[in-house]
Amino acid sequence: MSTEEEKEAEKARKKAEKAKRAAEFAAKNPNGFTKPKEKLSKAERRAKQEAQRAAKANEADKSKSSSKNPKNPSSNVDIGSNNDPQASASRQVLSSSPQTLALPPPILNNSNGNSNRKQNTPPRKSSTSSNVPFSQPPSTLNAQSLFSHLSPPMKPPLTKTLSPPPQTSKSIHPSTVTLCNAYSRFSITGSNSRCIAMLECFKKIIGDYEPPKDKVMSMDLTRVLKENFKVITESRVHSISMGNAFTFLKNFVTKIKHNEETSVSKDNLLLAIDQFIEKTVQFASDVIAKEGSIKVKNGDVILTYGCSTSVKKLFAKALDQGKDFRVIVVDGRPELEGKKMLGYLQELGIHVTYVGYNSLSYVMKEVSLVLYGAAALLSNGSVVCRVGANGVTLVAGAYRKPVLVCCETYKFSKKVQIDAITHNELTPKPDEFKSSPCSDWVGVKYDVVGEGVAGIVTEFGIVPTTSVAVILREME
Amino acid sequence: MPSIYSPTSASLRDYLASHSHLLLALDTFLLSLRLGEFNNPSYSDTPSRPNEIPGSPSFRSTESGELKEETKEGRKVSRSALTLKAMELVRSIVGTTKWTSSGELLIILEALGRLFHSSYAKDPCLSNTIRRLMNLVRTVEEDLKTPQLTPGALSVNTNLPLTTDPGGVPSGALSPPNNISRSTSTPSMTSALISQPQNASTDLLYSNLERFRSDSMAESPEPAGVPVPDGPPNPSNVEGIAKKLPLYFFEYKAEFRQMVMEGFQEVIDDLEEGRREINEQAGLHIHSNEIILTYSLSRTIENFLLHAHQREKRQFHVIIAEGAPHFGGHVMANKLSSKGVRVTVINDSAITALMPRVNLVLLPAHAILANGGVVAPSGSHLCALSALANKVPTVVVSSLTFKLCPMYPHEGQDIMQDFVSPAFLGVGSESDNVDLICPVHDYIPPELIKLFITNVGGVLPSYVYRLLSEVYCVEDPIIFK
Repeated sequence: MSTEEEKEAEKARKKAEKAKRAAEFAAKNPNGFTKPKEKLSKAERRAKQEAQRAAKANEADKSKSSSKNPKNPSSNVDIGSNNDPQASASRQVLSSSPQTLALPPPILNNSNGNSNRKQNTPPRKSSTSSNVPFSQPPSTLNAQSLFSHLSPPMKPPLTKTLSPPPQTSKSIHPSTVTLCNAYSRFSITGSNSRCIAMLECFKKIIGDYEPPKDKVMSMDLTRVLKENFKVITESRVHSISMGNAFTFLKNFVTKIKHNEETSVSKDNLLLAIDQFIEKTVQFASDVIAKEGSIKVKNGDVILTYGCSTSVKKLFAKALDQGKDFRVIVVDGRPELEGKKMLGYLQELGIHVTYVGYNSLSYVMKEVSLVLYGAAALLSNGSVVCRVGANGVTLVAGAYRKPVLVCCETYKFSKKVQIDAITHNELTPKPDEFKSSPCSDWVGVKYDVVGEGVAGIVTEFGIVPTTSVAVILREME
Repeated sequence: MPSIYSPTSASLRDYLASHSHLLLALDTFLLSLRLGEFNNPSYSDTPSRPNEIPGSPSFRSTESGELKEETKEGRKVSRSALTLKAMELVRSIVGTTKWTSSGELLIILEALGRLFHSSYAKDPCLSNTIRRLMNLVRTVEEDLKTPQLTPGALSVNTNLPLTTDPGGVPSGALSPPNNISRSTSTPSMTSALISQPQNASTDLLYSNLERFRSDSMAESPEPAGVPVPDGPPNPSNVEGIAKKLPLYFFEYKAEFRQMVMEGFQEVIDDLEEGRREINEQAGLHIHSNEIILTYSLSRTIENFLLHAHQREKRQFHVIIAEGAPHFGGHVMANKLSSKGVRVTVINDSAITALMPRVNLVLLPAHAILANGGVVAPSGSHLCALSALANKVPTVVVSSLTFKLCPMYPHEGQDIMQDFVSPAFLGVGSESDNVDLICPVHDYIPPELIKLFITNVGGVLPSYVYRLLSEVYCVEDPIIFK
């Protein structure tokens, strides 16, 4: 009985509360449950949205700025810190000038070959373009952001000599310093020349090297060589040929027996380096010249790009064989390396046509063979060569002309690369354009030719680009 | 009243003898053409000093750093300005002289065409304009002639509109596709498709047409009682194009003059309006955060991009190839970046290296050929090839008003070719063994082009030949010799 009464009382109480709440609600909202929304115009709605977003961003900013601010310098602030493009957008608008802003990450990650139009479009927020523009992240594309994954261009100033790092000053040889100056001023260019210059420098280092009493020669010498190599790399990024030569040198050094006399080891080492230069660099290019000159026929018109030692030897060899041909030298700015090739061919007495890069399509129709040299050959069959060679290959393909690339096997590398953007060397703006108001400039040193090459002329003969991986394996 | 019988320079001058101011204007214009005062420095002149590169400290430039390419001694030298000037001259000649029939007018125009060609052959814009005017004259004439063809007779003129509207003025301008005139005659369509080597004579073509014409035109009724002013050219004495004209072209029609002048005005308006119509399409083709590659200097593309940037408020980034030998890319970069567009300049050799990063390639056109191919600044063929290899769309932005040529590229890369000094290479040689070449134009085949953005809208390369028949008549000479 009592529970029933209690239940009744409960029910009555609840009813009363409900009625009270209903009355309160009715008092607040005379129109019933649906509150009429204020009709905002599109611009007002947008402004309201912006204000809410900005408020949200400010809150997020406050929470993060305390932890992130000490670390971040002015530019490149937002690559890693904040994944929200909207928040970074509003922050960036407030803080820094548009030109130095970095891209929000989703767009940066598309720097590899796959960029198509869809991936670069941010999601659409509103429809018309004549109203207030949508608040997409301010596009901050400039040369820096396109290539922010690469080290900035090396300026070749160096009026004063390179000052070596203090703690290892005794292991940095003066000839290394000379070499660094030569590299950074671009007075030694070309993969073969740079490699040989580096090896000559190492020969001097080894010649002057005296192992300390308590250290094993192989390990200490390796350390010294590595430090020197690091300094060389800092003046200008090493080419793959230089890298391969250095690997060879390191391997040889580690095999030095520790109970051998120093002078004997050093002599062996110097001999090994000489043999490397003679055989794998110079003799190889002679063999290449012989193999390639077979492909030159009487009456040929050969197109070459830039200047390559193997190609020069090839022309000399073909001329020795008494063949009648002429050469078209295509040159690319700003290095204009073809001038050296022009001078060499003039000395040989071969008829040369020297054209700029824009004339490629015009001269290609009379060409019978295209030849150029490579800086490196990668495992996936890509040829790394001077920037512009890809264009030469494309135009040759359009006119159905055969393309041969001359490359010694010591330049083969296990790396893979499909386009010229993922890994490259940036060049600084040429001096003649320093005063130009438009300051943004992008220049790269290397080009990657993926396809279109008929064959690679190596000291093993003329091989297709796909055999690089096989040859590398065989060489081990 | 003397009338003109043959389209030679001498007979034109005799004809204009009574209008000495016209003769003076004509001779002054021809002289400036020959002296190269209308040469467009962005592609035809050699830079006057070796290694003269815009933006370099040695280069003479105005305070804003811009190349003085707009004015040369106070005269505008852009091609559209040149065409406009030629049009004004033609209009004043046509408006003032007392010709009486369309045949006579065609003779005058042909004579002018020959004069222009002999003074300034390397730029097809003048010949194209004359051809357009000639087609306009023919169209007006056909409209006025009451169509009383016998059944089975073949119409020679490909531009007979399907619905004749005698009162209206047929627009000589290139009009959007709903005005396509459908020709019902098979021979004309075939003859429109016959490719003619530019240097061969076109007598073979005309003799075919003459055969058809003689079948059809013999029965055309002579309008009776039309008062003929004295001195019309006797049709049997005329030379040149007019020899092939049907007889009714030599009759006087009262309203013809006014209709022709209105048509001329429409053509002039078209010249001036063309760029605006192209700019309006900017928003359709440029999306946000796009990376656009363009080659060397082009006013059309510059306005296109500026319109997208300023009016449509699109954010994008432009990569400009500097474009040897004239390095117009630097000028364009300065102009665009001064208006706030994000610009990066690159060497021509870096185009293929950067192409994977590019979304759209915009190329200018010097001339658009009948097969849909394009004559563009040298180096743009490479651009288009690289874009094709990377699956990037290549779009040619150009107005069709004076660039559309009824020629086919039989010479390949040699079509409309011109050469300048390769001084920018910095190489000189006195040896006989060394050749130095620097061509100015490139031919881009239609397979490499995805789309044309023109003043009549977006056009496929395969559609260009059809546009030809709207503006030009197949009986008019391809080359005025």
